[in-house]
Formats: sequence, structure tokens, C-alpha cells
Amino acid sequence: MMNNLMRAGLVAVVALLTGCVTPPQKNVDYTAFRESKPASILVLPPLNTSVDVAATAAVLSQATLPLAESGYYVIPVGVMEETFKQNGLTSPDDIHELPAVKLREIFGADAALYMTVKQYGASYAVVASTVTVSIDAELLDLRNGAKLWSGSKQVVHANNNSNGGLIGMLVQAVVDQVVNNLTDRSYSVAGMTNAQLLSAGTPGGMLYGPRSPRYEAQ
Amino acid sequence: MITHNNNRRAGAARAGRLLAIAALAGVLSACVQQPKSMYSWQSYQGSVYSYLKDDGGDYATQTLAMEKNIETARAANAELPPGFRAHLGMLYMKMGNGDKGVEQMQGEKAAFPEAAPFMDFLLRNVGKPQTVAATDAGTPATGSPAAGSPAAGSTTSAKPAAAEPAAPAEAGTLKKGS
Repeated sequence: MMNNLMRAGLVAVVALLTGCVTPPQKNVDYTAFRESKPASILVLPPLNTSVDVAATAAVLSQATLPLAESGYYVIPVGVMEETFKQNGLTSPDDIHELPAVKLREIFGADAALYMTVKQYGASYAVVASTVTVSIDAELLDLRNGAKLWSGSKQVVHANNNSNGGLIGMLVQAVVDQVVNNLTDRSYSVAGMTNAQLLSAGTPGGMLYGPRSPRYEAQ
Repeated sequence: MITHNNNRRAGAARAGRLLAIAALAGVLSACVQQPKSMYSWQSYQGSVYSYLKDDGGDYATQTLAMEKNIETARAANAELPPGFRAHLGMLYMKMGNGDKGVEQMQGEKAAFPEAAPFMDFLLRNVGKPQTVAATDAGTPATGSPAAGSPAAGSTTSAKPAAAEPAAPAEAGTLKKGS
């Protein structure tokens, strides 16, 4: 004799077992992405339309984790930035204009991620201050220029630290912040935004890359 | 009899509730993101942030932290993330330690074959004599990202191409419209 609550519990367990393999949203067209099968991604320095100049560094430096954990090789961003610099390219606007063929030739990546940071930083109010980071991203195939995926994410983080969500907590747990003695909350929120925007397996999100154990199953 | 039935029902209800809570917790912790990290990240992204934000930052501090990370990852039998070795290699080259720099770049290539084109591009320039542009004398092996001080990156076409390692000699070819 089964109680309703018991049944609900079992349903929840079944949901747990099947829930992890939820397919991405149906209204997103993954045809080009699946055909392209990119293995490596070049994350270009993001355009920055926010008022804080630190936004580019914060977003660029933290884009590697979600993409690598999703199964992609990510071109080392610091070395990439330095290479651009040595070639006289310091403006993300100029870098975003570079021909795909040239990027492919130098960096050897299958795809490039073009990001725009639209909001970055704190806004102060009487009761509580919030930190907002908002990012747009587009993934292009460097071999044929095809658009593979696009997405955008905004994370608003309130003062009381209860709004970070699980992904934020996980990001903070895995990222060692000792080196820089980072107290910069905007940097942390940028990490959460990147994680939510670029982690595979979310509705409408990126697909898993070849290095992920979930690549074959998707 | 009636009380016994009630107890059983209450017990079933409690079990169901616990099951539901446990399942919900499972969903939240297991499905939001992979529970197990593929890589040992540690200071890598923080190091890159410091590098990007502070015009190179403190090479020695970053290098020291990253070397410690290598030991920690080895002890935990964990993989270093993509880019870690290449970034460390660049820091070594910046500090004039070309051999260690090359070693790390080769390590990046060995761990991630996808890195080969970019690492080869960088390594092609190592060992080429660096003449006028060198700010720190006595550094025979210098890769493209290591050439000159971070501040030197702002001047570009003004430099004679011959005084530069090969990657900066590609300046112009990278520019748009070419």
C-alpha cells in the first residue's frame, strides 16, 4: 500500500536518475554545432561596453574553466593576449575584426568565442549594493566561419551573499584566490556569469566537447 | 489497530518525504554541474587575471604559486588544466629562463595535442638570437610572448623586424585587411 508522499519520493528519485541527461532546449538549432565538432576554442579578448576597464581581464581569465570542464581545449588566454600585444593588437575591437583564417593559422583552434561584456560592477543603494555582470557570447567555426552557438547571461549578486547559487559556490570552491588576494566581488560574479553562460548541458547552452565523458552521450 | 495503521502511514509519509528531500538535494548537487572536476584549477585563472590586469603582474609570485599547484595536483593525481603549462612557460621566458619555458610549452603540447599549432608557432621563435629588442641581457632563448618587457608591447611597427623574434615579425600579417 503506497502512500502518496512515498510515490512522490519515488518519482523524485526517478527524476534524479533521468534528470541529468536533459537534452538542451528544442528551439535552439544545434545542427551546425554538431557538424562542426570543435575540439579547441580560442576565447578572444571580450569587447567591453561596461564602464569598468577591469571587465575584460576578469571575464577573459575566467572563461577557460567552464569551457575546459565541458570538454574543450582552450587556447591559453594569457599567452594569446601576449601574442596579440607583440603584434601590436591591444584593442579587442581590432582583434574581433581579424580574419578567421589568420586566427586559425596562428592558434590552430577549431572555433573562436567572441564575447561582449555589457555590464560589470557594483551599483550602490541605500539598503544593499548589488554587483551585476552581463555577457553576450557567440561561437564561430574558424574553419568555415559558420556560427555554431550564441548565448547571453546576466548575474545580479546581492550584498548578503545568499544569491550566488550552487554554480557560484562551486566556482568559488575550485578557484584558488590566494595568489591575487582578490577581494573584488565583481571578479567573483564574472566567474559565476561565465560558468552559467559557458557550461555545457544547460538549456540552450553549449554542447559538450570531445574531452568530456558526456560527449558521446549527448 | 487504528493507531498501528496511523503509525505505519506516518512512517511511510516520513520515508517519502526524506526520499524526496534526498532526491532534490541530489538533483541540485549532481545535475547543476559535474560533481567532479576534470582538472585541478587552483591558481591558474587567478594568475592569468593578475597577468592581464596588472600588465604582466609579478612573474616570480605567479610562477612560485603555479609550481606549488603542480605538486598539489601530482599528489592528488589530478590533471592540470588546458593552458596552465603554456602560461607557466611564458612566465619563465619572461624571467629569462628559456629552457624551463620551452619545457613547459612542450609539456602543454604533450598533454593536449590540440595545443600543437600554437605551441609550435611559439617554439619556432625560441633559440633565435634576440638582439636589439632584448631588455634583459643574457637570455638566449626567448619565445614570442617573452620578447621585451610588457611595456614594450605598445610599440610595434616602429621596431625593426630583424631585431624581433619571428612571432612579432609576423606583425602586419595579423592586421586586418591583409
